[in-house]
Parts: sequence; C-alpha cells; structure tokens
Amino acid sequence: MTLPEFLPTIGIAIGKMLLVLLVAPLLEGAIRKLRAVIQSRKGPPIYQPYLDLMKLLAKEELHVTDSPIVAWGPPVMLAAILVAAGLMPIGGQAPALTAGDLVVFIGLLALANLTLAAMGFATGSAFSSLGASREIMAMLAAEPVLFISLLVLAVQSGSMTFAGLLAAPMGIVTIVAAIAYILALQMYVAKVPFDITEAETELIGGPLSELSGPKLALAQWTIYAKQFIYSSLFIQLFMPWTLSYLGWLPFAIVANVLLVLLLDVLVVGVVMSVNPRLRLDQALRYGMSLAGVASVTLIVAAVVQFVGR
Amino acid sequence: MFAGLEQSVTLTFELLVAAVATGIVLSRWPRVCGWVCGVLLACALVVSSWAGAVVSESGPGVVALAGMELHLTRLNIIFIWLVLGLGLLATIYSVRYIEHSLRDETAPKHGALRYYPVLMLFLASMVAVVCLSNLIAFFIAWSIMSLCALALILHEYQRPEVLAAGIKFAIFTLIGNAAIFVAIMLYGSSTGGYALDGNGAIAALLGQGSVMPHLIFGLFAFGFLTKLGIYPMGDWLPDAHPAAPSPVSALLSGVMIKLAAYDLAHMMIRSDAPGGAMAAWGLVLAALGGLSVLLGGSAAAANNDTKRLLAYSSVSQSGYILMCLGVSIAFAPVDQTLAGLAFVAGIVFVMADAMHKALLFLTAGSVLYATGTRDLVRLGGLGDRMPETKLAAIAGGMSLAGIPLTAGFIAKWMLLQATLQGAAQQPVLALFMLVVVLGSILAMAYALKYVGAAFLGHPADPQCCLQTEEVPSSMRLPQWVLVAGLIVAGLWPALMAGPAAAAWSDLMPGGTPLTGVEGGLLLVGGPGAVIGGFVPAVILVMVAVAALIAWGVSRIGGAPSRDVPSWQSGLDLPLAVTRLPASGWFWPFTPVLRAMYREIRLPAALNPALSDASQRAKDTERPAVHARSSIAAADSGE
Repeated sequence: MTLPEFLPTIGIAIGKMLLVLLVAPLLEGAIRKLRAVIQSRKGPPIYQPYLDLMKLLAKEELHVTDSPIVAWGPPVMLAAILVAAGLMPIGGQAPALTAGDLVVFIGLLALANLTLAAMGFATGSAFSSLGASREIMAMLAAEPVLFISLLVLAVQSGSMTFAGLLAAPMGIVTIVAAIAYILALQMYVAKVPFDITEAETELIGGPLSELSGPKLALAQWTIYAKQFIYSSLFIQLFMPWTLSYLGWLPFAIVANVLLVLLLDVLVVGVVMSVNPRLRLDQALRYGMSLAGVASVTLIVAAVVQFVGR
Repeated sequence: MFAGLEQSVTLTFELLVAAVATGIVLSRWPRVCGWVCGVLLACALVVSSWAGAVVSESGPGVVALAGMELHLTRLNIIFIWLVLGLGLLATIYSVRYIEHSLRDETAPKHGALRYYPVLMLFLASMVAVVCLSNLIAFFIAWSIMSLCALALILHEYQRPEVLAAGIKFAIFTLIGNAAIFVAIMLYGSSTGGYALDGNGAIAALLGQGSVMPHLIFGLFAFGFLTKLGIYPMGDWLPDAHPAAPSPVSALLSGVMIKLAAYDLAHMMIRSDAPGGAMAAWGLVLAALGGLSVLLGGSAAAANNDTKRLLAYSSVSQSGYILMCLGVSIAFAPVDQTLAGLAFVAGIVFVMADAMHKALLFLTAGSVLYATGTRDLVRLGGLGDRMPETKLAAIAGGMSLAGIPLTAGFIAKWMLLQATLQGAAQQPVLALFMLVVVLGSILAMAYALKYVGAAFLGHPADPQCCLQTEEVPSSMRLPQWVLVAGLIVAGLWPALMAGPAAAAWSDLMPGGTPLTGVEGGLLLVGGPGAVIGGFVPAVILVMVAVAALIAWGVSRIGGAPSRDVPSWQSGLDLPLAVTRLPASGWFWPFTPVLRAMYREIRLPAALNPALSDASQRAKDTERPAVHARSSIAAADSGE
C-alpha cells in the first residue's frame, strides 16, 4: 500500500473535521437550553454558543506569559481533537483505510488533555496550575473506563480498527460495556458533577482561566468538539442499529447528529442540571469502580472469545 | 563470506580498547581526553555499522576474537548501535558536564581518571555482553560491566547519599549476579556445555519432567530482573540513577538495564522449551512487569526530585519492556507471529526508551549544571532562560508519555495490539491492557510534572532559576540529536520496527503480522483483514490541515492583544508566592501514589551511609507543608 492511496481517506477525514467543528456548538446550546428549562428560566437561544464563539474570536487577547505552549496550545488542542474526529466513524461508516486505529484515537484525545494541562502549568497562575493538576487526575478517573469499554468491542471482533469495532457482535458483554460507557459519559465531557478541572466556582475556569479572546474560543470549541466525539462514539459503536438501516450516507449522518443531540440533552443535560459537583477523590472512586466493572466485562469477553475458538 | 565482518568487529573492539587507553593517558587534560574518546567512539560506531551492513545482508555471523566466539545477529547489531550511539552522545555531553564536578574542591582527586577510562570500559564491556554467546565469557563481561557501573555511580563518593546508593547497588548486583552465576553453572552441568545456541537440551530436560530447567530459568530471571530494575529486586535503581553523573544515568537507564531484558528474552526464547512451561514463565514475567509499570509510575508521579522521578519512570518503562518480552516468551512455542509482534514491541520499546530516557536524563543534567539543584519544588520557569533544553525536555516528555507521532507511541501501540491478539488465546492478557492504560496516564502525569515543574511556570526562588544560562553547545548537541531521533522514528516507524522484525526472523522462523505501508504500520489478521493500523505520515498531514483550520479560525476576528499580569484574585502577590509548587501537584493523591512503591531498606549494618541517605530522601520528597512555609517565608521577608 502506498501513501497516495490514503488521499481519499484524508479528504473524507477533513470533511468530518469540518462537520464536527460546525455542529459541536449546537450541542452545548441545546444542553444550556434544557438546563434553563429545568431551572424554570427562559435561557439563551439554542444558537447562543455560536454567538459566544464569534464574540470571543474578535475580542482582545490578554497575554500573561510569552510561553510558546500557551501561544500554540489552543490550536494544537483543537487540531488533535479534530484529527481524532477524522479517524472515527460517522453515520455508521468507518474510514475505508486505517490511517489510525482505536489506539491512535485515544492517543490524540490524550494529547489534547495533556496540552490543556501543560497550558495550565505554563501560565504559572495558581488557579490554572491547580486545574491542570486536577486535569491529569480526572483523566486517571475517566480514561480507563473509556478505553476498556471500547476494548470490550475490540476483543470481541479481534480488531483495533473502527471498521472492526463497528462489526463487533452484540452480546450481553456489549450491553454491560455500553452501560459503563454511558455512566462515565459525564466524566468524559467534564460537565457537572465532573467539571472538576474547570470548577468555575472554585478555580474560576482552571486551565482556561488565563486564556482570553481567540485562544479561549479555540479552547471552548475543543470542549464542544470533545462532547460531540464522545457522544457520537457511543451512538456509532454501541447502537449501530440506529444508523445501519439508513442506506444513504447523508441521511445516516443527519440521523447521527440528531441522535447525539438527543443523547446529550437527555443524559448530559439532565445529569448536570440535577447534581452538585463532586470532589476529585469521589470522582476517582466513581471512575475506578466503573473501570473495575468494565475490566471484569473485558475479561468475560476475552474468555467468551477463547471458549468460542 | 564474513571477511569484512571479522575485521570490522575486531577493529571496533580495538577502537574501544584504544579509547580506554586514551582515557588513562590523557586524564590530566579532561577536556582533550573527552573529545579524543568521543572521536574514537564515533569511529567505532562507523566501523560497527559496516558489521551491521554485512549482517543484515548476508545473515548472522560468527567471529572468533581472542579465542572466543562472538555471535553477530541483527538483534545484537541493534544493541551494539544503542550502546555505541548513546555512549558517543553521553561522552560528548560529559566533556563540559563533568568539568564542574572535577573543579569541586571537596571532590576526591583524580576525577577524570576515575571517569573516562571507566566509562569507555563500561561501553566496551556492554558491547561484549551483547556479542558473547559462551555463558562463562558472557558472565565475565557482565561482571566487568557491573563493576564499571558501580565505579561510575560512585563518581562523587564524597557525598553520603552517593555512597549509600553505591553500596545499595553493589549489594543488589552481588545477589543478582550470584543468581546468574549459579544459573550458568547449573546450565552447564545439566546440558553439558556453556554455549547458548538452542540445542534443545533444556527442552529435552523439560520433556523428562525435570525441575532443573525451571530452577535455571528462575535464577536467570531473578538475576536479570535485578539488573532490569523490576520491582522489588531492582530497587537499587531509584537510588543509583540520581547519584550517578547525568550522562552516566543516561547510559545506565538508556542501555545497561535494557541488556538484561535482551539477555533474558534471548535465553528463554532460544531454549526451544515447549509451550506449557514457557506460557507460565512468560505470563509470570509479564505480570511482574505490569506490577512495575504501576508502582514505578505512581512513585514517579509523586516524586519531586528531577532525576529520581526519571529513575522511577525507568522502573515503569522497564516494566513495559518486560511485559512485551513476557508475552513474547509465553507465545513463542505456540504462535510465532504473535510472539513476533510482542517481541518487536519489546525491542521498539527498548529503542524508544533508550532515546527518550537518555534525552530526559541529559536535560535533567543540564538543569543541574545550570541551577545546581534537582529539587522540582524550587525549580520553575527555566524555559525562558534555557529554551533549547526546554524543547528537548518537551520532546522527550511527549515520547515518554506515549503521544502519537513520537517514538514512544509506536512501542505502546504495538504492545496494545499484541495484548489484544493474545487475549483471544490467554484471556488474562486482557488485564494487561488495563495496566497499559493506567501506566500511560501515570506516564503523562510524571512526564508533565518533570517538564512543567522545571521549565514552565515560575520558580520559588528567582535567584535559582531566572539568572541561569543555557548550557554549552557541546551539551545541547547530544540533546538535539536525540530529539531528532525521537521525531524521525515517530514519523517513520519502519526505522525501528524494520530492524526489530528482522531480528525476530533471525531468532524464529515465522515472521510477524506487521506489513508494510510506506513508513506506516498495518497489522493483518488474515487475508486482506486489517486489524490495526497507524500511518504517521497520513496522521501528520491531517494534523497539519487541522492545525491550519484551527489557526485560521483564531485569526478570523483579527483580535488585538495586550500583555497583562496574571490574575491573583485581586491580591498583589508575586507569582513566586502564589504558584503551585511541585509538591502540591496531583494532590490529594500524592501520598497514595507515594505509598504504592515501598522502598526496600537494607539493614544499617550493611550500609553505614544509609541513615544520611534516608534523611535526604525525606527532605527532597517534601510534603505539602512546603507550600505554606514558602508563603510564610515570603511574608516574613517583606
């Protein structure tokens, strides 16, 4: 196989990147609206996040440090998340050629988190540094559940590629893995009660606190995009039947976006509206218990595969 | 057929002997001595490349040198290059680095005489360890290597903590080497020879139901794991690495401990033992590796001493290497392609970790050279004064954390693929994937802590860090070479995976399931079935496009910018006071992480220098109280 053969894959990936970039703020708007409704407020219009981003992009930028990490952090973060979006399936269709599999996908998400934490430390501010330190610990709580519940699919299909994961057979272990994933979704998207890194009321935005203007816009956009990716991944991998009967890809993509919207509003929006923030150690305990359940599921899946051979 | 081979190997050893002699003769002029040794090493590297070219073209060869047989396989060549390449870089780095310890008035005399000749002998003995296939000769080279390592660790023996670390290393090494020696004797008496050539004698003994092979494997494993730094028998490592001069730490961690992994895997895979026994040994070794990954990673994330943090991370990375090789050993008799994948993962891990760990130890050395401290709580903001070293540390840290497009990621990618494939045959391997994930997050934590606390943010004491200067160019050069190596290897994985796969095909017929894309890695499970893939060149293009999109988006509004001070809740306090010191990172889990790794304490009678050393460990680990006391100090000062 030669590199030019990957050109169509790259083209499709860029299309996915742009789609995620455009659609992601809509999720945030819908969640805010629902939260307002639950709290008996009228709330901002659903397109408010787009207005926020546009305003931030034109706003003055305040530099607290010359560190290149802070200068380049937000674009790198957004780029890592977008490339991850380019690798993952959309509308039930995985990329034809595997330029990066599940491991690369997780690695790119980790790069985004690491960059956020590094920016926090680079500003030197106590709030940012504390937020950055929490970001790493929050990863320790969330990432194992994410990876292991996806590995349950990988073990069943014997493949790390997204095409393989999509083709994984549905079974009881898949359902347990799906439950673990959905119970941890709030941790992945770092919303209340797991908004420990940003924690507006105690850390005034954590690693984001010293960002402003276009940098803050990119950082916010990254957070919105992450939310889309984690929710869409659940729809794609654990509920593939919702998309597979739609033959025509544009339909499937629209259905995909609508389902993500529904999932985010119903799960993320409701959970964040009715819960207070957890402490870091409570979050870690929650994450580790879920990871424990997911690991048992993983071993069961491996044993099932082993017996089935 | 191997005419060129014999000459080039002989010449390599002659050059190394010449380097030792140079070290002795020129020791009165340390700087000249260092450069001449460097030139000789560079020549040895070039000459050994010729041997490498011959071996990769016409297959493994045997060379007789001074009555001993040297085996040159493609696997050996990889390790010879690592030894000589990192040795060369460490020597160049030493020229200026070691000067400041030689000028120290409290230092014992003849510093250069105790440094360069020993360093050169250390490198020569490591090359010999790699090539010698007769076990008695191997053990002699191994012992010389251990003694040289001890002498280099004790370079600054006037400091009590160095003396204590050296004694601890000596005791652990003595026990480990004794185990290896007994294992060699048992091997010789039960198989009737000391040649390690897969003659089936071990397999035959196992077939007769003898426990002797298991005893031999156990003793070998104990000895080699001691050297590899696997917890608990490798507990000398976190003390010895910080004690040694930084270029020596880079070599100890970069190559010496890896030779143990090489020897163990080579010995066990070549024994041709049948499946059941090997599966048990492989899984036990992999489990020990997994334990080290987690314990070493936790201890590193909780530590506040630059070099000690990196030493703990070596424990963790050694654990990864042992996991790969354990999986390979477990599957070697039954599934050669899977074993091959795990083996290639292990060798790629060795290469990647050799590069990034050596790089990080060199940057830690540069920090020590420029500021005189290893204490992450005091350090900070060095990036402004030492931009090149900062970039090197960031590149090394990213590779250590296993971020895509660096060398470290390739190794982790392969390990995960191998455990996934293995899990279908040994379900317990599924647990190892959890270990890899947890270990990777811990790796991100400690890599970020090292880079962040030393180079980013603000120092506690502006005197300490804001008036430093970038290190001399002869110290920056080796750092840049290693940075380039990490990036090139990360973008073009075939550079590491190709030689490693070739090395495997020398050991075992059967090949690996890795197939070529140009410069990428594709894993095939059956005809036409791709079950894993990573093509860095394509990812790089996508990252470039995405970054361009991101940058374009951020420029759309044409926002102006302005410099402001950092926001301190409206208080007018210097950042040196409000900053979060390294001791406060990862709170409230720091004590939990620290408690995971229990240091093995030798009785005081064995180690008279120990009481000072344990006192020092308490001082540098610094609990959270430090944050408050630094504010209190600043308050009382103003």
